[in-house]
Amino acid sequence: MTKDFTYHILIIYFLIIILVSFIFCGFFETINGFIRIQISASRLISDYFAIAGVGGTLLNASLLSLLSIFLLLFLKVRISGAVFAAVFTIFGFALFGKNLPSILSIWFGVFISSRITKKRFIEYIFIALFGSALCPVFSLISFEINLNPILGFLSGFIFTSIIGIFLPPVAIYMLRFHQGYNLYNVGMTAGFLSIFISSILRNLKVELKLLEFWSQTSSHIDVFIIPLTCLLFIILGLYKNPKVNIKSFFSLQKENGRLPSDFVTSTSREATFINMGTLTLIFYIYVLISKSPTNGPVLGGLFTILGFAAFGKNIKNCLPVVFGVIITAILLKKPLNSPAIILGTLFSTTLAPISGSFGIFTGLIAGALHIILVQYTANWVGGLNLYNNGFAGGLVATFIVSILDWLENASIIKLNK
Amino acid sequence: MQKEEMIVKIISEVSHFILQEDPTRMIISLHKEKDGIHLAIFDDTKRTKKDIEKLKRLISIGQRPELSGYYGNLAGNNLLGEARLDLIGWQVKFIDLNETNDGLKIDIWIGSEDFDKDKFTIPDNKV
Repeated sequence: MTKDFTYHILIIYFLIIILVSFIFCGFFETINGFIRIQISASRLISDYFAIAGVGGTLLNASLLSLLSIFLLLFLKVRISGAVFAAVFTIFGFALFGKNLPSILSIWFGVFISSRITKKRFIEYIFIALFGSALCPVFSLISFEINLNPILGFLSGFIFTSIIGIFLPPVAIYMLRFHQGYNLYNVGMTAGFLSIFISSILRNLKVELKLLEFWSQTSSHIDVFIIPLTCLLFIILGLYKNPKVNIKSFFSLQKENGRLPSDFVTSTSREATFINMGTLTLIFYIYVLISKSPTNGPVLGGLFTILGFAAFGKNIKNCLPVVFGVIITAILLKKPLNSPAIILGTLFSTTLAPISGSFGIFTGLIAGALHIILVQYTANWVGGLNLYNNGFAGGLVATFIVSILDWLENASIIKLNK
Repeated sequence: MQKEEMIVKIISEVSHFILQEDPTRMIISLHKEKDGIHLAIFDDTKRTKKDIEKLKRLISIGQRPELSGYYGNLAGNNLLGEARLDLIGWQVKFIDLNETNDGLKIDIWIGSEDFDKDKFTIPDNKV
């Protein structure tokens, strides 16, 4: 399978989703929903299924994903696990928070950042793609604080672009805090920046209450999109040399997943596809068992798992963290299908490298700490950071890594390296 | 300054890689040319053929600006975990790894697009 062919598969996949949206949701309803998303508030939790319907939401997500792919192709970025992670994270979060103008303003800011430091834009491309975590800042300034529409749009674009300029230096520095043990590093970066942004806005008397758009209804498309996608990736992984690829899939499970773990390079493209399909299917079954809705944010969580199953997540390193989350939620008597808990469960897999590197017990602790923390971190920053779990996960990873390092340096523990 | 920082990070990551095997000897040699730098690192740890093949595969990925510009910054900043030579392989012009009588020799060339390791002024046998 050639590199370009993999890009072609992704392009065809998103085009099919657009087609399905038009066929099942109606052309005008889909377009209207898409337009509504571009001018709606997008802070956490803004389920676009509830705001604009399934068709418009899927059109928004597919168009943004296609745009990302064309940018990657334009910059001649080779297919890697990071490409899958970035594209499917954009697709997932475009179901509940990312829209076209906000994403362009962040990308523009990161581009300016590359010009300032005389670096090629390709060197910051993944910061730009993941950096759209701060998209809600654009919609807040443009549409939530009652500015004149043109002034609001321009202010939103300029302010969000300025944030984009600061993303690369902060994202690079944040890696050093958690040493690559938090997969959503830009989530931690965006959370860190959001503390400053939300404080500035609150000082300017802007109210930052969390939003509560959370769809409970299900349609055929949102129920079937995940299992069909998983099936597609599993078939792609198995159609040629299935025995060899299954063997590679099992060897992939031994990877600790620490950033940057490009499974496409370290194992094989086909084994990575099997991992993507299988891991996401496991979490989809959990979503059904926990009676959670298959709405925008939940599907967003599943698509993010799909992408990062090529860039750090596997069954072995994800499950301990997730069990830590579920056990803690049960002990705290929290419903497993409440928004914070189901999203916390899916996105807690940002801490997969902790269990992959330091064992099951540390993974369980990480999951427990994560779910305790993540319920409050969105409030700290007024829902401005879409990757709220990346922020909480970064704090948990930094805490655990610092303690482990301290204990190892004092020869109290010996870590398996 | 930028190049100095890069060299320090690379030396740190390679040292981490060598020291995790607990060698009795490690030599780091740096030679500056007009348009590039040659780093040679030696140790006295014997490795299996399988280990060396795996290492060669990791470092032979070639330059990956899209990954090195961001994740490459982890090189030399490891507190915990294994050293990772692939982080270096992404950002240098050339990296090679060969067995010596005692252990391993890692050659790293850092330089601009014009830098040609084959025109290096120090003969191989003197490195």
